[in-house]
Amino acid sequence: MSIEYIETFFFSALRIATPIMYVALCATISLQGGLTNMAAESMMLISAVTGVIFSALTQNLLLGILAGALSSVLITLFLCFAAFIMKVDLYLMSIALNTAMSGATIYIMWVMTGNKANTAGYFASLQMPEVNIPIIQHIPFIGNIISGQNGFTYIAIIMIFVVWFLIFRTKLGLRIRAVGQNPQAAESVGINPYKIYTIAFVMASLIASLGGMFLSMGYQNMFIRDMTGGKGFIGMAAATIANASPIGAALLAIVFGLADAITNYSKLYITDSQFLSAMPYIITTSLLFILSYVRVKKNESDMRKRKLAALKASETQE
Amino acid sequence: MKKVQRVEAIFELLRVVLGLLVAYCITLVLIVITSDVSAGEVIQNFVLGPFTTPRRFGQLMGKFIPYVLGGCGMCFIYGCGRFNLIGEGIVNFAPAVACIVLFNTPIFDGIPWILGVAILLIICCAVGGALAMVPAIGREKLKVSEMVTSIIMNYMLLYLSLWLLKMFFTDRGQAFLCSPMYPDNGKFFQLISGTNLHAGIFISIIGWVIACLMYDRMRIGTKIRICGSNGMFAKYSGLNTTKVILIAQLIGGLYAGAAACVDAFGMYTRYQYSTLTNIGMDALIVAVIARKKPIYIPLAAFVLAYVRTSAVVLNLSSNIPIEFVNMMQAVLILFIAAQNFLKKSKDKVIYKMSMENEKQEKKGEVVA
Amino acid sequence: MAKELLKMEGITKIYSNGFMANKDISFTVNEGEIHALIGENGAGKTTLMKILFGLEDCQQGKIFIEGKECHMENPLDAIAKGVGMVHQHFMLVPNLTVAENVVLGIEPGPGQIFDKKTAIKMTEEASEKFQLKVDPNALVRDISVGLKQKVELLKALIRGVKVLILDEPTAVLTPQEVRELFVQLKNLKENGYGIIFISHKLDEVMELCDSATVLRHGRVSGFIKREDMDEKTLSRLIVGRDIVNSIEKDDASTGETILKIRNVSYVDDIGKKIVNDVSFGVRAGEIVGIAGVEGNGQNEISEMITGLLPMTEGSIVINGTEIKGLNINQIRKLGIAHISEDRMTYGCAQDMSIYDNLASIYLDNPKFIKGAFIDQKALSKYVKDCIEEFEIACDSEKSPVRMLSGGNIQKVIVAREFTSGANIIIANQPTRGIDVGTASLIHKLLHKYTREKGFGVLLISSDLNEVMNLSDRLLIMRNGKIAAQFTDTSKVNDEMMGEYMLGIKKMTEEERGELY
Repeated sequence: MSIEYIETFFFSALRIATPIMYVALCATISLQGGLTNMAAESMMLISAVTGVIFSALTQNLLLGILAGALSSVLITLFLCFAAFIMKVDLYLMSIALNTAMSGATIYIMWVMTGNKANTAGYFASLQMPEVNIPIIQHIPFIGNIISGQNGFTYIAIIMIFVVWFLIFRTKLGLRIRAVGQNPQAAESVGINPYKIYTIAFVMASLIASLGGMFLSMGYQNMFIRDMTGGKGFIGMAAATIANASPIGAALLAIVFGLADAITNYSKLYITDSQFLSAMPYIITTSLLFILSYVRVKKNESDMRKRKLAALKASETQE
Repeated sequence: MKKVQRVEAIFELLRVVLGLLVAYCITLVLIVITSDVSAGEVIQNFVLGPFTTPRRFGQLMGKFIPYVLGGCGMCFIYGCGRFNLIGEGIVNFAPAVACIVLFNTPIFDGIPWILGVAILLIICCAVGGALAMVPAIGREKLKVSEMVTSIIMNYMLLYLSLWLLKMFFTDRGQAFLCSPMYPDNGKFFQLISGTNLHAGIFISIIGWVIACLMYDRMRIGTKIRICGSNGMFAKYSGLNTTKVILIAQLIGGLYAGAAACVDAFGMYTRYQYSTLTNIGMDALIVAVIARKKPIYIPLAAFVLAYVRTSAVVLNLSSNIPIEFVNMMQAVLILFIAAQNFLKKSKDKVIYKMSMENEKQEKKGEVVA
Repeated sequence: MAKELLKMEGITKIYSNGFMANKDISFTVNEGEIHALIGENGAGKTTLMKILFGLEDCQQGKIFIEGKECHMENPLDAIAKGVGMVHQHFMLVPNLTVAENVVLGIEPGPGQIFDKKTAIKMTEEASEKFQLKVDPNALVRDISVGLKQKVELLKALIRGVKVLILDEPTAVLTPQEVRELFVQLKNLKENGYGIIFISHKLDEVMELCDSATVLRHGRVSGFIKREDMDEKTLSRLIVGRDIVNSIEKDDASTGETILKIRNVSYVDDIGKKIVNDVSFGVRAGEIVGIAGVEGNGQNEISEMITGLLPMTEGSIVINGTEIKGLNINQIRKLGIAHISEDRMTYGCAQDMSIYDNLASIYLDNPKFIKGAFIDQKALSKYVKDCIEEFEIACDSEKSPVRMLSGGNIQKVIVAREFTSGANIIIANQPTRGIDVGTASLIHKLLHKYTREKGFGVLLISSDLNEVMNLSDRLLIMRNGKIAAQFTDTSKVNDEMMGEYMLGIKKMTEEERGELY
């Protein structure tokens, strides 16, 4: 295997991992707030289609992205209303919303273009450009992997630190963590948990919307029906396994991104297109189980250690 | 006290009916506003469409048949508080496995219809049950969200079944990827020829009866309900909650397999799925509308089948994408599953009633 | 005369189910005073403090802070008006640092940025000022219970409260930590703070408090100044009551020991030894009562016997079989029935019918099953018999349990457990919070089943009247150990029990006698 080969492999892994990274970060915020966000698919789909339409109509990339983000926030507010005010089971509402958004995006696309499969050829939508990073691009090996990625990929990497900062360095982040671990404690000092949940979900939806728009305005330059293909859930799984640490979640997202990269490279050996399509999901499921096994074992031994330490401490006191 | 119970039941029903109506109306208005189809045409096609010709009604029944089975299965899965959505993938994958047996082995040569269909059903159920255990065990042993696993696996199963189709039983004479025509002993015949009302409905009826019995009369059903209602109580009562939850999902998988069987070998003349069918997701919606009670499943399944057929009819005349009815589901769930929808008026009615009761009791005391 | 800080006047609280929790309660706390609020569980202390802290509303009564009449809308409002509370179950976020917990809700920093350094400085300054030494950078989950309590104190103090409520602060502490806490509280007192100290422990109250208000059955049963405090008086004010004898006492004819508990210990997640090397037995035909202030290991014992909690050490033998390694179902089959203290969580499934609730433990019982099916006829008959025998007031067996009154829910549970075929009944707080009629029915049943059918009953209750009247042998638990045994309960009175429960007196092993 030549160096170039490995370079392109990792380059594409990073590229493919971008939307999963966004979802992982989105899920990290809601997990820190104590809730599991199963509606990331909805957030991604609606922003993907809205972004494409508005960038085409306004011919302004920024306006397109803003419109996409806004659409994602709106449906998240709907979700929060249903779950926190009307008291619908959050999981159930998320599933229903995912189905609904899959239908709604197809319907919107049809109303705008008359086509039900994709927007190609109907819309001159804009695309986030690829960016070469001045100094890094000349570093051998690393430059070829990191430089020249899509703008959204860099935003994702920036977002890791933004999310980290939000959670660990802001007042809001402190409150999100407090509500996530002990809502009663937060309530006893005057913090309204439902308000915090809603804010956390809205922030999560902003990040997920970037992931959605990467799909339709970065990776592709059109919206394709159901183009998220389960990525929302893979990101969610990455965040859970990483115990809601932003950096860990992003790194695991890249690991899950390898599933697609490996598949791309298997094309040389496996010619069967159906099996190739199934491959990333097979790898993802296996990874999910293996990583979760490691996590369960680790958490168990941590727990045992802590209990033992506590017992020892109390014995020495006696 | 009896009255309170009745009020609760009435409000429960009201919530479902109102939810359905509101969601339906919003969808209608949305179509009329956003498309260039006239209101009259929408009403004619969408509201009445499924009942205008026997063919269309047959189509409705064709959707109804797998919904009943899938919905019954989801009652058990959702009833014990799990969101295992693997049914979606099972609908594609289980018949593909059955097709391998059908087309690639000599088993079906010359056996009677009833035996052939039984073999298909058993294979589909077995595959469904086995698949459903993967996310279930992952959740109980490894704490992976069963929802995440099942949804990722759905995509995997879709492509794997296409791969099986291409590898083992594709009909090379056709322009699109599909199997050869099913033999007569390997499919559900049409009860009324020219329509989709097929013999699979008997499987649905039997399945529904079994589900009702299991849910209310059998030990396992009671165990599942106790686990779903209060897990701590289940544990205290000496139930093995992990085992019960796994069995519930196994039952769900078996039913999804049966739904897959009647859909693949009843609705079509050859295996030709190229995408996910949404039957698995719809089964959850059916179970929610039926309030997790198998006894109401046929009613709920009929409602959803009606809406879905309406969409198809409208699509034929105006090209509006079928998927728009999916939008309706979010509104539907919002109203039906909302604990706080109509709660205030219900509390008011109950409060008023208990006040009146008290007054009457007092009067009675005075008289006595 | 010291300045009056807080005054509660004529507080009356009736819950929506008609239960009167507080009746015309008044007391005052002065500047620089530690005021004790003592009484049994259910005497109304917690409700009173919830009203003061804005968690509950009251029907009558006034609250004055520094002479001004106030109404507490919610905890935040109470804190703003100068009342802070340290809950018995700490309101802390485990994965945050001490400093983060202290400033939660009033975080320092410009705009949305959380200034960690200032937070740490604030915590250090407060820690210095109030002499509550904590490490601001430690994670709360890693620090000891005593330190957690300090964090709670700091949380209240940093918000500028004048009156501090401490809800049983010593219950979770080691003796060393208790001593340290007292030094800190006295220090706060000297700085002019008013402290309300809720406790069961008389020695602590006498050591620390300047005055005490004793509550009993929601009413004030006495007010004592420090100089008048002595154990006997306090103990009488706390437990003294009118004795209601619902059961005719007769001698038990006991058989062999059917429940043997040998050297059993339980250590909880934070390493505290809740049950410490306990051994005793229950013989056929007798009721063994366990009394004690709640939280001294009684619950853990009942949960270990029934298999809900794994024991850390020791052995439990039921009808000759060791239960180690068995699951709850297998333990039930050995002959254990369990009336749980937490009715709504463990005892029933609210949304299910009476029928299903009664059936829950019979789903593998050959009497009620036909293969994979439930034997509807047999079960229906059983349910009808239960409803009749145990006088469960309901419309039909299909009504959901949540529509029944508390007493009737308890009857459903009692019916199921008594008829389960078991010969040992673990009754944990079987009559707590239910009406007198049902309570006396349950008492009669416990008595009847031991005398007529030779059952062994382990009765755990904080209602002293109940344990005294019913028990043939009475054990008293304190600090996870058996502190005393009375074999002749007719000679026991409240005061004697109170003295052992509160640790004023101790029994030697000889005095205690055989525990079987």
